[in-house]
Amino acid sequence: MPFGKILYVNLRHNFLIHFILAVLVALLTPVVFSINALDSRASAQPLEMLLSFTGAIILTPVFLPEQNPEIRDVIRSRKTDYLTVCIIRVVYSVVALAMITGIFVLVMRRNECDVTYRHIVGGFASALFMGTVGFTVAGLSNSVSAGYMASMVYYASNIGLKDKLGICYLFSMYSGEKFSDKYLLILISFLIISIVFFLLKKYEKS
Amino acid sequence: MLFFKECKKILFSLTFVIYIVAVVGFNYTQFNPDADRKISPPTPEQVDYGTFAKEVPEILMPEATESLVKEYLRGYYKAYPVGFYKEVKLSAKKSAQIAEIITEISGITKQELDNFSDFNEGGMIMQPDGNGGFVPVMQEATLPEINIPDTMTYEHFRDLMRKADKIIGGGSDYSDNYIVSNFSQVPKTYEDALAEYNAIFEDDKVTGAYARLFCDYIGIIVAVLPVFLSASLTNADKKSRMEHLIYSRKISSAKLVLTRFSALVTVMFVPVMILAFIASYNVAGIYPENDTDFLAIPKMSVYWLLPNILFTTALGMFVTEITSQLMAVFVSGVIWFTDVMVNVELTGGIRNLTLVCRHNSLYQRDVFMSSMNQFVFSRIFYTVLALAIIALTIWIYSEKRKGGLNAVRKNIIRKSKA
Repeated sequence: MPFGKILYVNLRHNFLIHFILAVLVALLTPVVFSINALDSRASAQPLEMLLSFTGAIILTPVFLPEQNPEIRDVIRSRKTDYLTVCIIRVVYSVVALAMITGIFVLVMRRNECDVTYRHIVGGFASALFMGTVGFTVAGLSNSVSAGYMASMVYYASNIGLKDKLGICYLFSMYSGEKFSDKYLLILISFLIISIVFFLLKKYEKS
Repeated sequence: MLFFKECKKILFSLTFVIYIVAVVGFNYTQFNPDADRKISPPTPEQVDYGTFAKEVPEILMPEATESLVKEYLRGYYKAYPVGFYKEVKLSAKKSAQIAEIITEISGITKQELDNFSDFNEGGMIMQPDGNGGFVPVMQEATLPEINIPDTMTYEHFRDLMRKADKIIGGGSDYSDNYIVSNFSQVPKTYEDALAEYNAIFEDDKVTGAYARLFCDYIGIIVAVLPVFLSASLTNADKKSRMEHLIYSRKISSAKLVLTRFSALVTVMFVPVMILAFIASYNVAGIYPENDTDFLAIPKMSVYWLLPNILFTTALGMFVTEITSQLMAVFVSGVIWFTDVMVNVELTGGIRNLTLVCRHNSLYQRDVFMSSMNQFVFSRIFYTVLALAIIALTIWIYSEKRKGGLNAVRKNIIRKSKA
């Protein structure tokens, strides 16, 4: 199947509903948190505390379509490698995540919030890592429910453990921790995603 | 027996493993470090004993007025009109009515308020510490100078506050329910602190204080995690394409749904109870010389945590049955998030519809007791709501078996395609 067709079919049938839910979270964020005239630190709150859920919503269900064993067997018999399709899904999911965060930060800027590119990077890093947790558990356990659940447990542990989580602390920008941790978090996320694909490839072969 | 079969299915699922890890982990990392500490008696040398709510007009009137001015200037009002948090934005007409109240209390006119350009809401802000880090600093609000004349009687002031609450839509900080606790906090004396300490040992038998803390921590996660298990179990038939086979079986819809519901609740609540007994045992060990109530933590877990599990489980089953697993997680997640993040008070913020009741302290027994009515109401409310949702789930399931709901759904799809 050509690349364009794979992209189109997946975007339409597998991605749309999750993307809509992620956008819904972004639209609900101003209902819970004010996004008007916030200083730099306060601007990080809606991004890290609520918008980060978009990562879990978008990235966790990457393996959802093939959760049914019969569909998985059909997919595996196809010429196009199953994991290649999943990598395409991860790529467009990450792009969508960056878009949602970017647009949200621009809206905040329009509302006179003191936001810079750091807020885009920081917000994206938290959302990406939250999604990576769900993606990893869903991928390795073949259960999307477990993936969502792991993301939620991870989020709840951020409320309890706070900066004890070190680099993996989701709300670090809001708490005034070192900003460079956010770049590391993005790096770790991509590293984990790569490891998951490596393990799945190995499992496929065996 | 079906009940045990369902229990077995849940026990051997990955979602249950994650649930156990989360509950035990939360107990270990959150409750245990706090529970290891002994409640210490106050000493006469102590500088600060905390505060408590007491109706003192001289404190309440300026504090409440300052808050009303602040909310007027920022353009929205904090309220809990039906128990849930809401930022109320008023129309120009209603806003003018609030300004009239402010004018009557303080003499500050609407024009003066609207022209006040130095407004700063204040609150906790992070400031650079000079070493690349940040330190939290409390910033005072910048407001117009407020002077309440001596001619303003307390009774009339409270009437004006009730009027303001009505304009906002009820459930605001100025309502009779919340005005004293919000705006009339007085410092505790040594005697007050000693009386509280004695109450913890005499009325709470010590374990009562630890019971509140235990339920506070565990309550956060048992208000959301059950949805994953219930949605997963409800979806299992669809996933394995067994739903139509089950539809044709003799078992009644009520029996099937209720068995699953009770299996889910039992399997999720038993670990909580085990942790509660372990906590009781540990606390009793810290106070060997005191008369402790060994059942205080398990009993409190039943009143406090079981309604959370009941409600979240029922909601997960219902939403999965009518839509999908994803929607169930989404709906429950939104409810949980709103409740945890918006009710930011770690102690004393319990309201009639609070799902995740918080009391993050071994102390402040009086604060918890003052919101006992709201606590009891919320626990009964969520229990009854859970049972109502389950009744609805039984009906939905029954209709699906008859093909009723599917027929309606197909009809909608056909019409939309046409």
